[in-house]
Formats: sequence, C-alpha cells, structure tokens
Amino acid sequence: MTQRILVVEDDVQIRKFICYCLENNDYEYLTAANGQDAFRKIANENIDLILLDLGLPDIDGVDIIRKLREFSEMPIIVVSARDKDKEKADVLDLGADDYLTKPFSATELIARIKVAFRHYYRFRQMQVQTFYRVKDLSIDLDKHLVYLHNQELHVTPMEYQLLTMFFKNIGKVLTTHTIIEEIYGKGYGNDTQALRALMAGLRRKIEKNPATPEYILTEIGVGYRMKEDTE
Amino acid sequence: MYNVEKKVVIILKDFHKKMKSIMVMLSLLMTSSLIGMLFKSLNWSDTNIILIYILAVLMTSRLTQGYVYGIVSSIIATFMFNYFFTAPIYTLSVYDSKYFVTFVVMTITAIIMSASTTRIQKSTEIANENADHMKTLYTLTNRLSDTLDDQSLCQVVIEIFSHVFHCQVGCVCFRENIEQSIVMYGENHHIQQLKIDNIRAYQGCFQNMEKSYVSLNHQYHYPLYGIHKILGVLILPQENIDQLDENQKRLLTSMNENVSLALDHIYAIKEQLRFKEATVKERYRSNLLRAISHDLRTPLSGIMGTSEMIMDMNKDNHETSELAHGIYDEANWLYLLVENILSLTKVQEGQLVIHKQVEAIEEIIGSAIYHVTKNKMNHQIQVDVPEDVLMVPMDAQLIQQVLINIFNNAIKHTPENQPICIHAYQKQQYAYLEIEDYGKGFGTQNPDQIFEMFYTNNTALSDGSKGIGLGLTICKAIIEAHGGTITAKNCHLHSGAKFIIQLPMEE
Repeated sequence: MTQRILVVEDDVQIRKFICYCLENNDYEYLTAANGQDAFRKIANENIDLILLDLGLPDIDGVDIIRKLREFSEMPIIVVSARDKDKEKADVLDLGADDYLTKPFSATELIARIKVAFRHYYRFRQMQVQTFYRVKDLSIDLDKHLVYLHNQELHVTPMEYQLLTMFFKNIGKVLTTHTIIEEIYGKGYGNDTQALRALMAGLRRKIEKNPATPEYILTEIGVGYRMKEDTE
Repeated sequence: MYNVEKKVVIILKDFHKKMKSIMVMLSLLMTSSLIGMLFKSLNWSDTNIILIYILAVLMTSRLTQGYVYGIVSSIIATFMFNYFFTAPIYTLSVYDSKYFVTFVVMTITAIIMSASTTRIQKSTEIANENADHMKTLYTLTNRLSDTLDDQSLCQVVIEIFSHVFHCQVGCVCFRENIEQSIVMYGENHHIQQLKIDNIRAYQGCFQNMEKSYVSLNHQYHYPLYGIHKILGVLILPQENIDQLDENQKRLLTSMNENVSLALDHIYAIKEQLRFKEATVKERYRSNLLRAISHDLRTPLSGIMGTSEMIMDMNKDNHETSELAHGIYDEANWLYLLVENILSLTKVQEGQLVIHKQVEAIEEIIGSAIYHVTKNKMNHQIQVDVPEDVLMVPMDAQLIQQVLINIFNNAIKHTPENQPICIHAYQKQQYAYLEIEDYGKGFGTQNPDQIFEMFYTNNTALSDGSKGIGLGLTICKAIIEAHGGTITAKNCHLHSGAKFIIQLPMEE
C-alpha cells in the first residue's frame, strides 16, 4: 500500500519541489495551499501524513496542529521558514513529529518522512522491540546493557534511560522539555544545564569526539536527535 | 557717559525725596506750633498742645520713609514746645524744673510712636513687595508652562525679565547641535535674534565657576542648569543688578530657577519625542528587514531544492549538473547572507540585550560544524574540546551563527584537503575559542579591518567568489553583545588566519 501525504504549502515552487520528491520516492500526494483547504482534505480524504508549512495565509500552522491533534494521531512534519527556536520546540511539544527548516534538501525531506512513518506504525502496532542498533552502538532493553563496538559499555542509570529514549526515537527530534520531563520527572522545570552536563558525560563515553558527534546530534535551542544509520 | 548721567539722575532723585521729607516734617511742626498758639490764646492746657505735637510726629512718620524723620521730628517738637510754650517764652531755658519730666516723656513717647508707625509702614511695604514678587513668579511660571519650544521660551523670558528689572535682557538656549543655539536680546517686545561667534567657547565659560554667574562686558551671565548639563544662559546688565536689594536678588534667583526648570522640561519632552521616533523608525527598519529576509528564504528554498533536484536528475549529463550546481551555490550564498541579516536585526533590535543560557560549548561547535559540512566539502575540521565539559552562558543560536560565519570564511580561504582547527578552553574567568585555517592569512594588512562593515578581501580570491563581508561584522556585533571580544591575527607556525573569541564565564 502506498502512503498518501498531504502537502500543505502556499508557495508554488516549494510545493512543486516537494511533490516531485514524493513522486520520485513512490509516495502518493495531495496538495493544499491554505488551512481551509487542508482541513477539507483531511476530513474527506484518506491521508497518512501531513507536511505542514507554518506560515499559511489564512490559519496559523500552530492552530492547525492543535486542532488536528484533537482527533488524529497521524504524523505531522512541520516545514517552516521561521527561525525562532522557541517556536520549533513549541510545535514539537504540541504534537508535531518533526520539523524541517527551509531550505532543506530532498534527501533530508525523505529521511524525515521515513522516520515519521516508522514511528507511527510501531506506535500503532504496539510492537515491542527490545534490541536497537545504530552503527556500532547498540542497546539491549531486556538485559539492560549497552554495547559499543560489541563490547559492554558502562553507563549510569540516567545515561541508560537517556539512551533508551533516543533509541526508541531514532531519527526523531526530542525537545529538551520532553527529555527533562521523562528523565527527571514532571515539575522539574526547565533546567537545561543538568541535561547538558548529563549529555556531555554520555558523549564522552560513546563519541570519538564529543564536539563532532556521530550518534546524538544537537539541535540548537530545540533538543537532540539520534542520527539514523543511513544518514 | 551714560552711566554718569544715570548716577546723577539717581542722586538728584534721592536728594529731591529727602528735601520733600524734610519739608513735610517742618511744615507739620510749624502747623502744630500754630495750632498750639491758638490753644494757648484760648487758655487751654499744655496737654492738648503736647498731643498736637505728638500728632505731628506721627504724621511725619506716616508720610516719610525711614526712622530718621520721626526721631528728628520728636526732638524738634520737644524743643519747639519748650521754645514757644514754656516760660520764659521764646527761649530754650525753663523756670519750672517739672517741665524737664514733661520734655523727656514727650520725646520718648514721640519716638516710640514714630518708630512703631514706621515699622508698620515698612512691613506693609515688604508685604506688598512680596506679593508683587509672587505675582511676577506666578506670571513667569504660567507663561513658561505655555511655551512649547526654546524660541518662544526666550521671548517670554525677555519680556518678563525686562518688565521686572527695567533693563535689556539676553537669553541663550543651547541646543544639541550647538551651532543652532538660540540667542536673543532685547526689551519688552523689541527682541532681536543675535549670533554668538564662538558659542562653543562661550559655553565653556560656565565650567568650573566660583559664583553663580559669569561677568562679561558689564553684563552678568547666569547659567541655567538642567539635571545633567547647562541648558542656557540669562544675560542681565551689571548696573541694574548691582542696584537690586537682597529681596529682589532673591526674586531673580527664583526666576532663574523657574526658567531652568521650564527649559529642562522642554528639552526633556523633545528628547522623549526624538527617542520615540527613533524607536518607531528602528522597529520599522528591522520589521522590514525581517520581512524581506523571510520572503527571501522561501523562494531561496525553492531555488535550492529545485536545483538540487536537477543535479540529481542529470547525474549523467555533466554539463547540466554543473550548471545546476552553480545555481545551488549562488542560492546558498544568498541564503547565508539572509541569515546574517536576520541575526544582525536580532542583535540590534534588543539594544544588544542577549538572552543568555548556560550551554555546553561543544554542542554549539558540533552543531555549527554539522551545518557547514552538510553540503559535502573537502575540508576537515579538527576539534579539540576540554575533557571537562565547558559550560558558557550565551545565546546559542547567535554563537552558532558566529561559528558558521568563521568556518565559512575559513573554508573559503583554505586550499582543499587542508584542515581547519578549532580549539576551546577556559582560562581564568573566560572561555576561549580559537579557530585556525591554513589559508594565506592577512599578510601585512591590519587584521582588525576585516570586522568592518562590507569589507572583503577580494584581491586574494582568484575564483571570484563572493565574500561574506557582512558575516564577520555580525560576528563582532554578536560577540560584543555577549560582553566578549573577537580578534584576528596571522598564525605563528604556518600561514593562515587565526580568530580568537573570548567569552565571559559569568552571566
């Protein structure tokens, strides 16, 4: 079954470019140039994923996400020319699955779509996966063990928790807010400094050089993302 | 000449006044003597005559100014009583020694009466004068509060001061652009605008003053101070001021204070207006820039995406692929420029206030490298960060922008397959970032120049690619907004440029 993607974008040239990319990668697509049109198509058509531009002429993209999340869990990838990090993080915390900042490349776009679909289906099928691997780093959730170059790696409980989170969301951006809430619990506030220190410690264990990470990338002002094997 | 004449007039006036007072005194005494003689002929008692004399003394005090006439007239009255009415008549000698008591009591009574009369008169005078001063001050404040600019203020000041002090008055209002200061001189409604030749030097006169005024060309120049600086000067002729009594001088001081206040108020309002205008203008400017940048980004994304697509489709057709690559590179360059303009508006907009958060410097470096190496390149970036994570307060987005700019600059100047190095470390209260490339360096020219707006070293580029002249200027603006410094110099050990960024560790 081919997946159908709704492209909500008001700029003709970018819409064409996105559609071309989708066609090349065997996705079906529908287009909408504004928020009204988008809602009509969401209601009437069978859609698997939405590519959403935040800067639409009629409705703010943020409102679209909020409304959509009231009745649907379908993956949303936000495409935005906005450069404000706060907005990116807000959009992700609202329930968007990923974001792309213009300009982006075709490979980037397709990679993000694939990641989003993978997560979505895993979520729907309640599939339980207990072993994950990215390059030379792997985690066994049954045995509570982390391996680097096939050798056991000693990590603290918190680092283990952090790694578990990333492995379960490979390729997906996790906001600092989400991570802090998961690891330190709700009500801990937004103390990013502790998380940064924790991350620095973990990187020193798994990365060759913590400043040029191979596994966990920093998305400045937004959060972190575990790189996929194919990237 | 003029002065002497005036002085003579004043002396004559004074003399005239004195003569008049003496005449009043003498005529009153004569009249009372005549009335006394009438009483005597009617055989009335001496007491009535004495009362008539005391009445004369009282009248004298009432009609003349100062204590002198009253006292003198009391004494003369006693002598006259003695001369005309006590035996032996028409001599100053007395038979009856009881009369001595009468004389003494009469004199003392007359003196006390005249003194209190004079005092009452004086207090009335002072009260009147005070009321006048209050009225003057009120008028001044009232008129001043209606003025909207320094020019009309000058006119009002000259009108009122010349009216109160009966002289020519000058008024100077210093403006921001000192050459455009207002200078006016005149009397009542005859006011003319003047020019002071060296107004800067003139303003300088009022620094380090010992008295509350400066004396120049027989004029007193009273500076009018605002809260922070001298705002204007009031000029009054020396001779008129020297004649003023204490009370009037006090009035002058209060009037000066009032004018200063009004002038300060006018300038404050002006300043506020100007500030408001500047803010609005600045907001418009950055809104416009941001709108342009935003609107540029979307089509640029389209161009970049499409050209990438074309490259992808024409992998076999080398020529088309090359052309598309060219489009992509140009669009990418434009995109970087747009990013820089956006950062610049961000830095300028907040009046250089930056929202700092403690960040791990390695994350920022990593992210910046990821950004510049995303589009396949032939340079290797070597990173050296300390084992203990270096946490520095900063605006991560802006510092990343700085690093991206410096890396792009380094990539442009470094031959292929040569490394670019970045080294981060902490020394005392500062975090340092050193970026070295293996390009040509700055040669003999001054490295500081590269931070100037729109400076690009085009001569060093053989391939004719565009510089990112704006980029390093923005780097400097951002780093300085963080309270740090950025310097550039030539590398010691090899040819190449070295950028050193210093950021404070404290928030």
